[in-house]
Amino acid sequence: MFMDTEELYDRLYRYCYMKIRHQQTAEDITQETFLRFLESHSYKEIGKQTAYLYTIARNLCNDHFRKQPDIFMETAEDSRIEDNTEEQITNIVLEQALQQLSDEERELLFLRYTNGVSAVQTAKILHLSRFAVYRREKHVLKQLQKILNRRDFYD
Amino acid sequence: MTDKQLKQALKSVYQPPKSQKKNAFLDSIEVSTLTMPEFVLSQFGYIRPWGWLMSIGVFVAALLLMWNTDEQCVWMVSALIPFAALSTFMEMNRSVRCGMDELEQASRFSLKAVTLARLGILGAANLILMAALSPVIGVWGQLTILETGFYILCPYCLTAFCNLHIIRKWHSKENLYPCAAVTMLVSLLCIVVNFMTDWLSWISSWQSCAVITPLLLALMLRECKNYLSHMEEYIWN
Repeated sequence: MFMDTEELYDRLYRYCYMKIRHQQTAEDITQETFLRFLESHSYKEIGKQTAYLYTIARNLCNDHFRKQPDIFMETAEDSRIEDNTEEQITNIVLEQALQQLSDEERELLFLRYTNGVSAVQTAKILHLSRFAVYRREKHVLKQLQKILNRRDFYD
Repeated sequence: MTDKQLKQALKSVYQPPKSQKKNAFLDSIEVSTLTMPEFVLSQFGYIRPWGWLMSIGVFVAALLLMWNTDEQCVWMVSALIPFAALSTFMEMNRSVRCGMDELEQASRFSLKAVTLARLGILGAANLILMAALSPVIGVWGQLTILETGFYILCPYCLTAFCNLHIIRKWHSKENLYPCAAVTMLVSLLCIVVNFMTDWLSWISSWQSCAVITPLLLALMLRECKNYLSHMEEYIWN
């Protein structure tokens, strides 16, 4: 699936934001990801190499945490403190539930459901087999349901 | 919340604040939408006329020689061919001679892409002219196609290899002079070989044709690859 550059930028930015939880840094890392990609690939290949772009972004986020482990992270409540719609409340509860999962589990759900990355591409990004992605996805979803059940949020 | 609602809700989590620098950044990285053939065609206009004239001049001179002399003149044609190679490699090295290579590295297309495109154009033009010249020499000089190809390609590849090696090893604005000297030497060698009849009979055998020409061609291509792959490194060093 080829993706528009702008759309890909938005998705990578969201991915970096999910990992870093800091707007400015997430945006810087997104741009750095594109620049690093363009060092070895042409502009036309951007839409065709999604997994590679995610891998660069992932490594840059890890480097960032290694350099600044105590960075301030915005929470869902910080960024939407004034919003009180039902959807926003659901998001806040869901993000809090997701925080209880491990980083890998959260990343898997994010890639598959939030950013709509295919199982094949997700497998490449997370260095797993396609079947392992399906298996873990099922397992993590059940785990998330359990967490939400504990909060009486899931029927 | 049902399974379906959960999956739907997951789509809207981690909404980041609106990006502030996206458009400026995407505008800055968006480069030309030129296709490869369009890019190569655009480079035709940047090749100096004298580069074309010199290549065409060499082949016109070769035809005139063939027309006015006997069959032995095939070595004279071989002696002219190195100058076609020289014109190609001097065009390729023009950025260095004019001191524009650093600037071109930062331009819309990389210096490597531009050089490769121009080298491809001039090389293809030379190849077409040599291919056109080959049957003419074959008929007038009573030679086989293989021998003709060898007589033409051998000095061309040898000159190209030596010139590329000089350009690669000696990164200077003055490298036109050693390149010209080597071209003259190869040209002279072709004339000298004409008088060494024993060697001539050996050199025009099938075995030597099969070994020397592909060997020189391989050396030339390797040197070309080395030059292009280290181009940026040579400039910044």
